[in-house]
Amino acid sequence: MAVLLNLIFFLPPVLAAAMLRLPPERRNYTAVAGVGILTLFAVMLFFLPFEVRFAFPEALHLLFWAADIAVIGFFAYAGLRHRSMPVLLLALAQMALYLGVAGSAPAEKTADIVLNETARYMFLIINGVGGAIIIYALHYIQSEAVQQRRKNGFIALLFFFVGVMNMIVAANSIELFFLLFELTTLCSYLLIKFRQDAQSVENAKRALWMNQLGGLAILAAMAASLTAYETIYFDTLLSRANGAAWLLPLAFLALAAFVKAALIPFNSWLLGAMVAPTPVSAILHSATMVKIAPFLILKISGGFDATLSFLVALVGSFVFMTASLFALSKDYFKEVLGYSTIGLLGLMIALAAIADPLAHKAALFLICFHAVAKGALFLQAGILEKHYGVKYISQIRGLADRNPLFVAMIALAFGALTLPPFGVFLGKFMAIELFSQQMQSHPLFSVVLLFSVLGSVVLTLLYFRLLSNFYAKSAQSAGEGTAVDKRYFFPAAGLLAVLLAGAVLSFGTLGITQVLLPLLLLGTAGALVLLFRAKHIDRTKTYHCGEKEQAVLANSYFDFESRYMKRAQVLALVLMAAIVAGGWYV
Amino acid sequence: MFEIIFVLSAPLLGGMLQGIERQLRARMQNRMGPPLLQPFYDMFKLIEKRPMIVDEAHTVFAIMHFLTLWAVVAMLVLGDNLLYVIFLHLLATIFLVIAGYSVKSVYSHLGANRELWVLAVYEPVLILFAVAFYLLEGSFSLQSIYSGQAHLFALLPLFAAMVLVALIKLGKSPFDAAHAHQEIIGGVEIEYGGVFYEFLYMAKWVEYIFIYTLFWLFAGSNLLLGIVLLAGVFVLLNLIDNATARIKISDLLKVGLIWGVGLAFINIVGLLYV
Repeated sequence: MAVLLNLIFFLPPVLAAAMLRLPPERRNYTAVAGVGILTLFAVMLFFLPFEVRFAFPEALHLLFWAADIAVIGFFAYAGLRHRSMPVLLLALAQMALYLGVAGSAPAEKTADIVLNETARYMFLIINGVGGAIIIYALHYIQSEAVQQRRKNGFIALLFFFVGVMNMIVAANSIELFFLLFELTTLCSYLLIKFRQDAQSVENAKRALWMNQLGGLAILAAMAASLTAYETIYFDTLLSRANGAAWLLPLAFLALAAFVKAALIPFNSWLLGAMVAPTPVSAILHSATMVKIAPFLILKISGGFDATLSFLVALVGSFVFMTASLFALSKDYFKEVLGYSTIGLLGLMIALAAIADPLAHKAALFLICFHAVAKGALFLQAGILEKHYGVKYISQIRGLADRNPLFVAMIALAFGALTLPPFGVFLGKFMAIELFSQQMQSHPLFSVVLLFSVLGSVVLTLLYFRLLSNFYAKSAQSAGEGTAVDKRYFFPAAGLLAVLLAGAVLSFGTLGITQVLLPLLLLGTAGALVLLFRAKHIDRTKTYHCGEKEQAVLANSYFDFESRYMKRAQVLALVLMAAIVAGGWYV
Repeated sequence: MFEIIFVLSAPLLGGMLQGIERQLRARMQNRMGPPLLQPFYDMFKLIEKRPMIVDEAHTVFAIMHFLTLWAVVAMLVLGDNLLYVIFLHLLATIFLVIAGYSVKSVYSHLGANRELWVLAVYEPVLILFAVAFYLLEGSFSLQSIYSGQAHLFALLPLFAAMVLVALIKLGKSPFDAAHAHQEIIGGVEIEYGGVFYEFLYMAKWVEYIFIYTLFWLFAGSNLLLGIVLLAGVFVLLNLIDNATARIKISDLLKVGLIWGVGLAFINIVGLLYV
């Protein structure tokens, strides 16, 4: 089993190296086969009946140490080269703190790698969804106007990213976690910078320094953990903490998670990542990067005391509501998806912060199904851009006439994010019950509940308001009447199929009727729309009250973002500062 | 057994209710009003008319809206999970919204847009309504609510918020902007005709049953209180409908969010401290 485990860590980097060397045709076959094998491994590991723990040999630790120095050194170099003061300063601060902390690590060693149930779920997501996105990227990247060498590099980077993610979800040592956290920062920096125009470089720099802040928080957590609890291992730290007090290391780790999840006020890095090719957004939002945040909270929330747990949940639910509201003011399709990701990450974090097995299960549901749904939606956004030349919601108008199947797929993905019996719905459903439960012992949780309820309603509004544009009039865009390329279509359709099949998982929580009834209704609607042809019924034109001018349909926009963003950022920052400050004094 | 008959005859009962309602409103205005069975006479008229459709998908979504609402009432009356029932009701509304969007009609789109905006007002109240019962009964199980004690007096602010929701959902003045006939000529309804319009009509009847059953929950197992309560709400809603003029959709959103969600939330926080 350890062999299988090591393969899931080390096969992706090997594949990445292969991507760099192989000619395009063979590169594609290798990539598809590689994704298949990785997904198979993930499924096999998922059914592993016991927990695996082991330590890496000493030589590898040396390598990790060197890699840490190299990554931080590279960040410093990037700061110099692109003249970014924050990047450079944060790199220097990280270097100083890292050298200080790494030198004083205790001799006591436990397992570097712990493979528990949460990690197994994450493996499925990372390799399954990440894999589908890589396959999609194989074709997508060929249409970018860059050298073949850089296209191969792009695919290689995606594989490397998947490998790093596989290891980060199993890491038990905070030091190793730090290295992998920095590597994900590095990957996202390089991916966002891929197009190398001024905007891309600017946004990549911002993503870099914000995530460096997260790295710095992890180092601070490590230092605090060393001084107060003499350990750099998650499991030892948690067993010594045991929910007794508000722990400074945990507060710092929570801060790192907030940055990684791009929660307001750190939202600009994830939204800035939209300048990169669409597969980058797809993979950042679904299988990798931001999912580290709720995962990390899940890992450490066992050590939270009631107040810390409440504060983290408050930050999460507050961001859930505000990010959903801000999404209402956006016209750029990917930006709308981006804000809704930030919002749902907030909800995941709010759930993960509650140390309760049911809350963990709900958070995992959300993590998994959000990954699949968002992955599918971003792949569809990519099809819109590449095939139809459409980026903005207001340009989408009338697409339903030209490709009803494609629009139905988008509708289904939105449905899977809101309606019973799908996974994301189930997560929200359980969230409301769990927050209600928490309220009884901790009345302030009522605020968390209110934020979550409002956030989830606003998201529903957002998705279906967006959908209206597909049916509205006056489309003026390319790609008229042609079928979407199969190499784009299949990864997106595949993810959607997983999403639908995922409804099976709700059987444990919902009753049989509760699962089957909405499926039956949705299925009937779908079947009738496809099959029902009323040949003998007369047709009529729509009614326009006798107006000759044909009105162009438009959405209403609510500009919450420019009015409330500052205030929301300050409020969220104050809450986050309170979390760290509380750890310091309590 | 009684429940099953009630569920199966829900559209009929809703139609009867509408008949009584039209009489009551007429009496309030010193009119005679149409006969009690007028909704059914209208139904036969619609069925006999020559059917016309805009397109198939549009028609299918209206039928699905009706069927889903009926299923919602079934789950509500047969005693499923209250929170789940409210989310299933969301599915029914979404079918209506998609129906509105699926044709190229300005008024239909306006109606669907407004349907979504008012959703943002009443859906939080409905969820908080479920949460209030969770706090009182310890679960979302409708069975225990039906057999439990009456909670009306612990939930008075929420009751007021639910009156607001009922006005919105049943399209009563002053909160009927979502399907205002004089403004947007019925909104989503506009593009339906003949027997297919009848499905939207019946959906409205089932919506009546849904809303009034939610009010029934306030009375728990107290049959007498339940009957008095429903009769009171019935008269109250029609009185408000008769006595007020429609407000703009933007004002509806403000009033709904501040008073509806506000009262419901205050009630819930109050429950935690009492």
